[in-house]
Amino acid sequence: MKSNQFWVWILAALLLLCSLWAALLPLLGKAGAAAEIRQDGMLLRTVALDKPQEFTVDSPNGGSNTVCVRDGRICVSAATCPDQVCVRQGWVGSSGTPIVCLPNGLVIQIKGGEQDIDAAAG
Amino acid sequence: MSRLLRRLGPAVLFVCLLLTGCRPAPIQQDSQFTAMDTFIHLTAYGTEAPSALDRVRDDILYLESLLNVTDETSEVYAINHRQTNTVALSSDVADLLSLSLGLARETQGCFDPTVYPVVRTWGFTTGDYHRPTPTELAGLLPLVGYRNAALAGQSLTLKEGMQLDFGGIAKGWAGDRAAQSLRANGITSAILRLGGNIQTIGTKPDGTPWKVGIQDPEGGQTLATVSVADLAVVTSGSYQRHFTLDGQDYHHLIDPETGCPADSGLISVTIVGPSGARCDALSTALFVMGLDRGGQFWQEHRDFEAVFLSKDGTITITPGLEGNFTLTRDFSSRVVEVLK
Repeated sequence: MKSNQFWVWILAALLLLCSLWAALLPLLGKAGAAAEIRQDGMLLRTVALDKPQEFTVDSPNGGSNTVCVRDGRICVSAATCPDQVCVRQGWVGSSGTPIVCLPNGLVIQIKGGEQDIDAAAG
Repeated sequence: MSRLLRRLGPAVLFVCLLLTGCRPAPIQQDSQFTAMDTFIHLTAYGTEAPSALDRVRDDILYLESLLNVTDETSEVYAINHRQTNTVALSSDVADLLSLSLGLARETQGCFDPTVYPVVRTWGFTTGDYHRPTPTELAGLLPLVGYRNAALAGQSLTLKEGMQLDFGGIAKGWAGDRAAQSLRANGITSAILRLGGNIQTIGTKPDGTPWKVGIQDPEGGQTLATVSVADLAVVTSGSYQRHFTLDGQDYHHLIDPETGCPADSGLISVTIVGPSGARCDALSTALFVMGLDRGGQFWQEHRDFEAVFLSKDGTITITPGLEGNFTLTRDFSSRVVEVLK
């Protein structure tokens, strides 16, 4: 009798823990935003957006893009490409809007963090 | 032992019943690659998604090989460098040309697939930017005109010197084909990003619509969002492709009548509708038309919705977007007018 009750209580406690875990998981699991830097489709590096930094990505064609991170956002501050589309894109802070430099094969995409749009027209 | 089971049994059964509420999230599949001079990012859900997206990628690459105006092996290049003025087209190019000529007629030439001699001279497809002189334009404009393209089945006759370019409709058309292919392969939830040409299938797996951002012309910020399901969203804007010469800015949306960048008072036009090709062509046409004429065109057709961003900062939307056009926080003070 006592041992039966014991096991029932154990099971109940396990159930309770699982429910709490499931309930809290969405709140605990929100990773900080990070940006994936890809060159010609290959993932070069993943950059956390929580601390300021600046670095240059060289492309196989001899070009380069200077990438800046600040205040949870990322931008291409300078580039060797002719049209400067990537530079004109400006600061990007959420997933849904990639920064693309076609001539240099560079694609920057934010993962995690706030997803306010699924796609960017324009 | 049996007493233990009798006590535990209901508890275990209860747990099992709870677990039946768990459903695994549908598998998300992404495909990213460069084609049609832009970055393409396709997302689809479901077990069929990987093979379905592979088929779409293959089709997009195939279309690029057909339509790329600067690729010497493409069908369009062959048409533009033809020996005789009557050429046989593949069925795909014939379909696209037929669609394009129909849209040219409907927009009275504000969208025109024969404007290439002018676009090429400006340098927008080669990067060799150049401002044509009035004499040059006078020589080029007679070569532009959808009325001088005669398509009978797969046989095309062009006037001497005429050239085709599907840059203003190709991505939208590719998006339509992709959506059709995905649906045929059982995909009910997908979002296709062909650069800034957006096409959606169904809603997101959780049943909510896709949120598509419309870009602020001044930079990469999202100006506003529209929520869509099974619709395409395409923007044409002067900021997308342009060059500066002697302090003057020239953009790629050429007015086929003048041979010069359209000066219609608009910075961008976004079209929302069921067909990517139609949205693509109309976004160019209505940019060339300007707000008044573009608004009138909408009133006469009403089979799409539109967002006009004017140079003076005004935002004008068609009534179907009222309640579905949300300015983002940074732009919340902007004025939005609704067309009647």
